[in-house]
Amino acid sequence: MTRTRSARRAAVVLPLALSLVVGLFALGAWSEPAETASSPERDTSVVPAASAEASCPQAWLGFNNPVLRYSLCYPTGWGFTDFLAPGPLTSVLTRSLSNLHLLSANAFPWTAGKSSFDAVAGGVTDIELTLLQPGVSFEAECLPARTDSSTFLSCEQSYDSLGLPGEGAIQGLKIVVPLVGVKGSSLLVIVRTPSTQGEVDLAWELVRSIRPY
Amino acid sequence: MGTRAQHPSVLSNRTRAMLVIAFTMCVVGVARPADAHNSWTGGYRKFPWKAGTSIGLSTLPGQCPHCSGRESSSAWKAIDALMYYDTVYSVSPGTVDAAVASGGGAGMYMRVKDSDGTYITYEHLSEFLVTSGSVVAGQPIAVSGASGNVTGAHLHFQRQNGTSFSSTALDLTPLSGHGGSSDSLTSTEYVSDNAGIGYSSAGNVSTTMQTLYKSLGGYSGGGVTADIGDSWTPCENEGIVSTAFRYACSPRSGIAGSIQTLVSGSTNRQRAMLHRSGASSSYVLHRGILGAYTRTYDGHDWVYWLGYPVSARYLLPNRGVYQQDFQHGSITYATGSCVTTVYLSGVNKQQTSYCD
Repeated sequence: MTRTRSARRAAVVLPLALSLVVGLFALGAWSEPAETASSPERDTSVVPAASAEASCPQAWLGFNNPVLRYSLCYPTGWGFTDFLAPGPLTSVLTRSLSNLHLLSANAFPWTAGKSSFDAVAGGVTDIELTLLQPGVSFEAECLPARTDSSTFLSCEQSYDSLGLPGEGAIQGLKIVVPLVGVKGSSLLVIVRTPSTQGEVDLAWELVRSIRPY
Repeated sequence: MGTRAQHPSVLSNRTRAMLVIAFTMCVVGVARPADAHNSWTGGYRKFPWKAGTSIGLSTLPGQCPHCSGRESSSAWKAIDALMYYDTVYSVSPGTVDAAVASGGGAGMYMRVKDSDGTYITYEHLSEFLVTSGSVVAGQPIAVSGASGNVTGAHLHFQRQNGTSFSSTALDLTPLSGHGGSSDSLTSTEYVSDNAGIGYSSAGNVSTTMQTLYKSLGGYSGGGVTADIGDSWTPCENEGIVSTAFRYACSPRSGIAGSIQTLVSGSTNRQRAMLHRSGASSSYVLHRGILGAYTRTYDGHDWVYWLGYPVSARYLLPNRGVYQQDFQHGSITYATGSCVTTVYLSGVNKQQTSYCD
């Protein structure tokens, strides 16, 4: 009797196990493929956009980027922008620290909807500070190369009216600053400015204040 | 004749319960309908942002500044998505053709060669998550940003037939394998749930649906009718593959059209627009009636039996009951009790309860 019961029980349990396996497999088969690899969490923390720094020239403000690990100084009146707020930002989102725009004082009050290139064409200096990772190319644009007169790698690229490399009103001075705190990466500084010498000199002074750590 | 004690059952109560659970899992696992938020088809994604998130579009295909004289030709069918330093996902399987740090208008951009030979370009990035090699659809490849010529942080997303910015722009729609040759996005708010504007069974965009869609204010928030009727699609039970929410379907002879589901705001939730092929009007099904419409009867969705709506809902006088007419019947919705009744050829066939 016991053996019969065991056999009959097995006859029930085995299909049960099979059903579980089939069900689990089928459930998994309907799933959307998982979004693989890690991705940045949506961080809402901020860092100050400006602070008084003893190492900065008088009347200049200091900025520290704790993600890319560099500091710099910039003239009072200049400021970081999100291209939305009318005035310079008082704080910068941490997740935006790999790509920042620092505008000259004459950019403010900023009019939302204006493009950065149009602002430059109108006399604004736009200093874009972007993470340059290993393996990234410059495709059709100039590649900064070491010069004899500067410790920075730099080159100048002009852009046409469509924003493509070519003859045009927009000039971009590209400077590459090695980042010691982000292995293998550099800071790509793109200075887009009208051609007045005073603004170029000011921009260079700002670039030279960049201190990776 | 023995007693229960003399002839004990082979199965204990616990075993019986496990058997029921296992059987149910098996049935559910095999028969579960496609995920209502499915943004996949054929190994492709429709959009490069996280599925289920609501991302506004500041520029639709064909709109300036993505136009002649303002931008190069490869951009003329591009979209600008209001992503703010968010993860960008590859919409296609392919190979990273270029990861470029540009000082030009495109800023930092990535170009992926699709397995179909076309190219997808993602512009104004702030960081690359990959810089070379193969990618799969849905793989995080970059973080959006504000590099290049921008009016604010956003993702510029375009498809083209070559590597040059002067190559020919291609439609974005075929990325998902859905719809016809064009997919005009008529709202600046677009939810990445693979929904879109309805198509007729011939694959043409229904202008009446677009008009109705605009009047309803487009999308707001996430999701479609997943909250109603168990992830319903119009022809799901007919075994027509990939008919999630916006496809033409012909459940039986004489019944053909398309459907667009949407969530719009907090007060106009979970509605659908249906367009019968050849009809001059499209109609909205509000949640109460839509809920009843999503149920099945005798093995088929109600679209199979009732067909497409031929009227908007209307209030029956002095009864507090809405009615909406369909090709082969009607559905009523009682505003007080939320009871919905489906009439097929005049006969009361099914009652359920869905509130507006």
